[in-house]
Amino acid sequence: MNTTAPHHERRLEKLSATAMIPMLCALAIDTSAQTIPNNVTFRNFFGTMQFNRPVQIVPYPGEDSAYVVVQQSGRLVTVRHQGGNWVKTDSASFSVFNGTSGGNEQGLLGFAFHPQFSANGKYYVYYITGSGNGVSLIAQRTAGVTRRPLTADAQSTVIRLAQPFENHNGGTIGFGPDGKFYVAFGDGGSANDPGNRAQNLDTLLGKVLRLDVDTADAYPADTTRNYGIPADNPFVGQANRRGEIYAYGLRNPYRWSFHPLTGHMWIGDVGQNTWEEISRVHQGGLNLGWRIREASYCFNPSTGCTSDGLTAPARTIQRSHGQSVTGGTFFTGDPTAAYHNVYIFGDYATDHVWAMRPSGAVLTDSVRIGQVLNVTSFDRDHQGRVFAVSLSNSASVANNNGVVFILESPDMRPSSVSVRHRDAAAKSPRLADLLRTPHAYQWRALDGSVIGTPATHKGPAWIKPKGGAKAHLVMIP
Amino acid sequence: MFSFRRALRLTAPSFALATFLVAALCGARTAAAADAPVAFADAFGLTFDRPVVLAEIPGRPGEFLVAEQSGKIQRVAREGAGWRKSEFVSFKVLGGKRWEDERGLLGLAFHPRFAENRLYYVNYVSPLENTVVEERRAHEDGSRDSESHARRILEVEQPYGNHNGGTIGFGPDGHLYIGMGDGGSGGDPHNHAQDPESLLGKMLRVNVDQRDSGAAYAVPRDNPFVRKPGYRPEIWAVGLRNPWKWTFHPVTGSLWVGDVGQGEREEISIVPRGGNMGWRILEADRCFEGPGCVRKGMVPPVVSLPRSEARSVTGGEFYLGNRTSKHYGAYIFGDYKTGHVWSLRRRAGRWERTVIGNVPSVSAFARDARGDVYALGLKDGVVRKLGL
Repeated sequence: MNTTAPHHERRLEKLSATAMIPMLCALAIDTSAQTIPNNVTFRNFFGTMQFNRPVQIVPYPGEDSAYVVVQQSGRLVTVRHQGGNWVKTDSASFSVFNGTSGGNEQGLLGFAFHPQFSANGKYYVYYITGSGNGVSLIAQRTAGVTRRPLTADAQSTVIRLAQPFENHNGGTIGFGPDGKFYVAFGDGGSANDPGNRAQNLDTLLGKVLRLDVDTADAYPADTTRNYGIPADNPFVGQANRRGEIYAYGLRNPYRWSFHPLTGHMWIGDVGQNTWEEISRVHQGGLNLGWRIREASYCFNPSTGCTSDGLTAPARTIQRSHGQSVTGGTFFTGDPTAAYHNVYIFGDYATDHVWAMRPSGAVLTDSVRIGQVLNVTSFDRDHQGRVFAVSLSNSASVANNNGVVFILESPDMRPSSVSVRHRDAAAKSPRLADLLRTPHAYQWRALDGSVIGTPATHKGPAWIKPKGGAKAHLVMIP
Repeated sequence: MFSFRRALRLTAPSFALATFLVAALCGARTAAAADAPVAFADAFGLTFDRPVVLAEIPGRPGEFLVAEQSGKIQRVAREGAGWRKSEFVSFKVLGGKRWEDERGLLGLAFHPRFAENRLYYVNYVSPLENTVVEERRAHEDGSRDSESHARRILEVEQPYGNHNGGTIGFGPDGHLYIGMGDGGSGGDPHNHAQDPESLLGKMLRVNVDQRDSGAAYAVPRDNPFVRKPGYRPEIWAVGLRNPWKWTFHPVTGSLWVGDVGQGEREEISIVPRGGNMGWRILEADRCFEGPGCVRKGMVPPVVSLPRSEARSVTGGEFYLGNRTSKHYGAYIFGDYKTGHVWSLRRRAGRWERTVIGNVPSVSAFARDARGDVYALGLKDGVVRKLGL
């Protein structure tokens, strides 16, 4: 797989450096002027189906009606639409440490398919194992011919890291648009970051890591670290600084995602006592401030703290509104919809769900669009639909009644230009409307991966389909 | 409808008691003792955060749960010479934390076979401002919730913050009764209580041991409106404003409801199967919508309290403690606003009430397995045992 790495690199370069800036100017439908309508309904996507502490939903690559639901209590569940019904099948289970009661932060926390899962069957899980305060284990596994994660699948360690305290383990794992594998660890836990780990570039705690899981192992003698370190990581080759680190100064980056069009990483970082924080990571090497600052405010020292070299939050949420932020996802379906390019996130403790629009490095136009009890994740499927996962759909957490909601709104239509690659010339009036003015566009495979390079369409004609595979046409803001 | 006979059969162990009670109710006592002052003693020496329900845990005599409106259920058990409270379960609820907020955690009931299945039920206003009735399971050791089972029985949208009912409870027929307020505001602006298609302003009756297809419960076939077009089949009775506290008579099985009034009268009623309790046509026994209202088919109240005595009635409990007490078998109820506590007895064919004390902001009454009655003060957080 390491031969593909340069290709990914090139792609990111093109996306971010060459293509994106003119494309922002090329946007014909300026959604930024629209206020965000407060008209979202939350529908139980799988009917009456319930899960045991769900914390994430991930669509199967190449399938439009099949999902993996990640259950914190230790099992992956496959839900597939069959014969007019949703059918739930148990998939792989893991010997997790805790994660089975109340607001515990351990157990099975994250899941990701390899971008080439359809071909190589690889998938990744993050769970807490061991005993004591727990050990973070991120494992690579290979699904068999059924291409469904099963308990018996071969497993190897990507990274194994002992946690000094039970809380603040992060959670999300996943591949960036650059094909690199990203992990965000919390500061190790307890409170106030007692070991000042988030600011210490010689530990992996309190950091976003950027790893290459498709290349040679950088630590062949170390069984707890089995990955390559991308040469363009910000601290590579620096003394007392770990090459894996991509960003630092994080407290508990439980949920994060990549903007599907800009490729920026958006992180929900859980705060200490006063402020919750959403951060944007648009490049490597950023210091997001913890424990010097809790969101925008001095924490340690409590007054007169520095702001030198710190990246300010994209949004802060005060205690009365949020107490444990759950980072969200961007809706990028129909580019004419008012929700296009809107970030949807929430709070596990207060159950609020908000929609906000990015404006450069900050989030603006805040609207509270609803509530989801004990919300653990916001995820997106191949059609761009947004889901909210409720760990337990009760005002007091219990283990058998988690629910996956789909967010629905007339202003959150799945991509109207989600035309199949080979059907691009289909007579879609919306597509025709869109194409009367210059537009940037990009083909994406059903698993979200980019096909070819972004291009700009200049006139009132149909975009010519390329290739034969199923794909979506995505307009770029 | 569950008949008196059936109720008696279901409560067979209390047959001997019934004889006593009937005697008491019929005024068969030989001598009328002079009225002694009633003591209201602090039962546990503990304070609670806005207590709204006290219930003895079935099969665990001397152990209680106290539901706090702000969201927690506390377990209370003996420790040495005193009592100790410990958190049983905690809910994130909307409201119910200050002043006269009527939301929050409001109801608690044990399954009739709790000792075997450990199931209990709560009624709360969820963060989404819906009334939620939820089935949960206690931990095997009985000291707390198991966190292993939560099943949503009912979810009803609440259009306004007030009038959310509160009590849920199992009848002698084994079905779960749910008291629903009219949705709130004032004067029932949407006429929910008389609307047969709304669950608001009703007493509901469901079977939680079975499930109709696609539902979390079964509608009992003998519910009064199951075959009546335009009616929600869950409805047991209509025309309620805010049935905050109610109870089943321990012998007759009849349903005694305190229905909070609007601006003139507070009401205690016996709610029969399929009954129309009158709101918003009537406020207790007075025409509400205008003079000359139609009273035909309306169930008259047992007690209609004037404003001078009561402004937010708290339905009560039947006292079955000391058999020689003149209050044995009496209905002990109160008023949240005036704090009055009454003993209601049947004498010479009439209902007679006497004030026996005062509990500021009295939110609920309860009876333990020995028949003693307790009164809960919402604002001082104290549970009082009545020395009747």
